[in-house]
This record gives sequence, C-alpha cells and structure tokens, in this order.
Amino acid sequence: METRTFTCISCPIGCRLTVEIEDGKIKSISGSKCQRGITYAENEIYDPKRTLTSTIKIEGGIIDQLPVRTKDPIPKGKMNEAMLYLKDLKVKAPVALGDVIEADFLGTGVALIATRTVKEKRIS
Amino acid sequence: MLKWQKDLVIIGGGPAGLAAAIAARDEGIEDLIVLERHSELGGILNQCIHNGFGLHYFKEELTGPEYAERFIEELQKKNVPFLTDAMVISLSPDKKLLVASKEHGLVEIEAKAVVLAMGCRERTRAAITIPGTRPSGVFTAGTVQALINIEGLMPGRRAVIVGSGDIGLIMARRLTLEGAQVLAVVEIMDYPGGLNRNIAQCLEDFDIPLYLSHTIADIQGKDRVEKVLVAPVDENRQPILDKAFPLECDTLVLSVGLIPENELSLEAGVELDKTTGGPIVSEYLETTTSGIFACGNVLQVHDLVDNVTAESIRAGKMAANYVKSGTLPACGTETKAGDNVRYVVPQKISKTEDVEFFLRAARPMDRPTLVVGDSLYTKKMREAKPGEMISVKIPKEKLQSFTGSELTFALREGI
Repeated sequence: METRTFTCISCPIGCRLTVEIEDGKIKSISGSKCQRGITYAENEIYDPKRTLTSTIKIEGGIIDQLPVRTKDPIPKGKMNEAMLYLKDLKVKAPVALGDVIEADFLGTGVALIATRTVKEKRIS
Repeated sequence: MLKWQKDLVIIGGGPAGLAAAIAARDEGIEDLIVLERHSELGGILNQCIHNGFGLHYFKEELTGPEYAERFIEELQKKNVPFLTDAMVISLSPDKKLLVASKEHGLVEIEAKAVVLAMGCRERTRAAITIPGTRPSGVFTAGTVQALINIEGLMPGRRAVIVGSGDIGLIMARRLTLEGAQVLAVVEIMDYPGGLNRNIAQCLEDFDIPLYLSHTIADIQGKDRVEKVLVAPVDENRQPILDKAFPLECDTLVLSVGLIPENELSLEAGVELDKTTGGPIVSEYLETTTSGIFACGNVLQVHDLVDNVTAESIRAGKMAANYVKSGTLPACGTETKAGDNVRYVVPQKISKTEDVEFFLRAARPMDRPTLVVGDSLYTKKMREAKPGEMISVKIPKEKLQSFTGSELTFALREGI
C-alpha cells in the first residue's frame, strides 16, 4: 500500500491530508476538516486540477491587460498549453466582470471568464 | 482653493476604505467622501489577479479584482461619493485635510470624523540591508506583480525570491507560468511565512525549492543582477559564509514584509504601536486622536482581505456613531502582548461590550493555550503560526470581572 501526503489548497487553513492508495485506488483519506478536502484529495490522486488565473491583452480599454480565470479548476497538465494559448488571445473593450471569453477553454468544458470590468477608453 | 465640510472623510479607496464607507452609509451617514490617490478604486486588489479571496466574506473563491469590484459596485449603488486621482497632502489633529485633486485642484476639507484606510507599502532592499553591488533587477514582489499583471511586462528570466510570505509565493508561481525560471525561494526563518496552501500550489506544484534558515549574503553584477550568494544562517540569523552557494540569476524579488503607511496619521497626532507599525486603537477602532479611526493594513498587516473587510465595516460603523453622538465611551483598560505573543489589537478597551481581539504568535507553536489576564479566559488551540492572525472574542461579563489596568494575552505550551 502506498501513502501520499499533501496540503489541501481549498481554503487558507491548508489541512495536511494523508491518502492511502492500493492498486491505484484510494483506500482512505484522513486529515481533512471538511468535505472539500475529501474532494480535493480524490482529484489530486485521480485527476489533479487547478484554477488558472492570468491576463490577456485587451484593446481600446482604459487598461491594456485584462485579468481572467478559469471558472472552475482545469487539469493541472494543461497549464503550459493554456499559458501559451493565452499569450496570443486578444479581446476588445468593453468587457464586464464575469463575461465569458471562451465557453469551452481548450476543450476542458470549463469557461474562461473576465475577472474585472474594463470600460472603453474615451478619446478626448 | 475650494473649501468643503464633510461629516466623514475616508482616506483610501482599497478594500478597507470601500468597506468602511459602505458601512458608514448603511448607518445613515450621507455627507461622506472616499479619497483615492490612484485613478481607480480597488487598491492593491486590482493587481492581485490570483484566486483565494472572499472565502469567509462571500463564501466563494474570488480573485482580487472580482473582490474589489463587488465593493465598488455596492459603493456606486448606494451613491457613496468618491474622488479618484485625489491625494491627501496633510491631516491635522482637528481633522482638517489638504487634498490635491486632479479634478478640483487643491481642496481643504474640514471633517467631523476621518477613517484612515491607506494600507501599507513593501519593505525594500534598504530595510533588510543585503550586501553587494547595486545593479538593476532587484524588485519588491508587489512591483513584479504590477509589472506583469498591470503593465504586461516581464521583469526578468531567471529569478530568486527572498522571503516566503504569500506575495513572494504567489509571484514565484506567476513568474513560472509566464515562462521565467524561479531558482529558489530563500527564507531566513526556520518556518515559511506564507499559508500552507500557497507553499503547495505555488512552490510544490512547480518543483521550486524553498530554502528555510537561509539568506542572501551578496548581490553581484554591474549593470544588472548576475548572481546572488545564498547562505545558511546560524541561530542568531547571521549568514555562515563558508557554506554559501551561488545562484546565477538576473532578478531578485523581495517579499520581506509590509509597513503600514502612517505618515498622515503621525501628522494628525495619532500615536503608533511600535510592533504593528499602525495606530494604537480602542475597541471602537478610534486612534489616540478623537474622531480619527483606522482599519485594514494601515492598522495592522492582515493575511486575508476578508479580515480587512470585517475590521473596516466595524470602523465605518464606529465613525458613524461618532459623527452622530460626537463621542464614544472611554477606554481605560490597556491590552498587552505577553509570552509568545507579538501584538494585540485593540490596545484599549472599555469593558462595556464583548470585544473581538486580534493577535499574532511570536513563533510557531503546537497545541498552545491562549491565556488572557492570568486566568480570566483560556482557549486551547490546535496550533499557532506567526503568519496566521489569531482572533478571540471575549464576552463583556469576563472583561468586567477584570480589575487590573493591563490585560495580558499569552500563548503557553504544555497546559
């Protein structure tokens, strides 16, 4: 039987989780203070996921960088691919908080959303 | 010069100022204004594009800009007046402010009450005196954050980070995602400064080594950083130079602590706490100058913005009470940090109400007991960490039974 320990990232408490694994299957999860820790541990063993936050270019807005995030966590293995993709992604102002930039981000089924409102730059 | 009279002036439009203003408005204060020196409201949250904000207050995980925008929207919905591009130049003990405004020029404001919500700034290389040459490429973590997230510029390609506070850890991940190589995070203490979750998701996820009990002994390079010398430290936190090793890098990122920004407070005669660097406050968050209140990172450096919001809502309410009644109850009992406690806020209490106290442990402790006023109040804890603020609410009955003049807060092991 294999034992793995890691820190839960679901909230600032950061519970130290211990997972016992046998034949690639979880036998037990301990150390979590809440259900989110259990879910996190399961994902961490079978399919580790992270929320990606970054910026993309925005044209014609009061600022030049639009902060974005994946609405839910996406597979950890997709991070590099995602960053390369975001490098060339461009949108035009105006953008509102929560606007969907990509409905199915890199085929993950998770949306990429804007995390702030950017108004159009007024030309005076 | 324009002259205005206001019931309440809030200095700073970051999370503290926004929450205080909304709370004061909810208490019926109409004649108020938020002054923000930047061109936008939201403060430092605008550049904190990572997630992890709002779990306590909104019960969901938000990024910094999302958290800020919720408050900005509420402020606007409630028609709370604010002025951006407006910097407070001076503040007097009788609550007269001189403001430099892009829109109005110089304005003198006479206020009945003031809420200080100016936040904090970062400690720099000078504050921790790293030896070596003075090349370009030495940045504070917040500057790196602004360059990447706001300006869209990369500060360097090979970075070493000094200090394992949350901002340093977050920037280690951000630099890595943006294609830079982060060679190490170097921490002088024997424990990490930031939250466990950030050690996990910012360092372990990217195999970035964390050197505890290490420091930077030398910065080398003529025009640009070329190399730093990393050395382990002895029990007096002095570098052991014959065990030092070099790391070739072009960027050194400093995440070595924050300093509450209290220049205006001092002008207004506000007395500061030597440990927090913020004003000494009563349980009503009133400073030693009557009618001037403080909240957020200008009062004490917080780990979570949710705590800033809670504290600032209280400051806004208390400032509103002061405007309405012209005074607040006297606070004659002082609090004091005892064994293993670095500081306690508030520093003065009235013993007429339940009080929530905030304190920080001086060192990491396993299963300590918080002991307040000898045996007035005790609470067993799972653990204590300097990086995580401890809060404790003590009922008024307990406080009233205390007869001394100084209420001591201590953390003890093995009770």
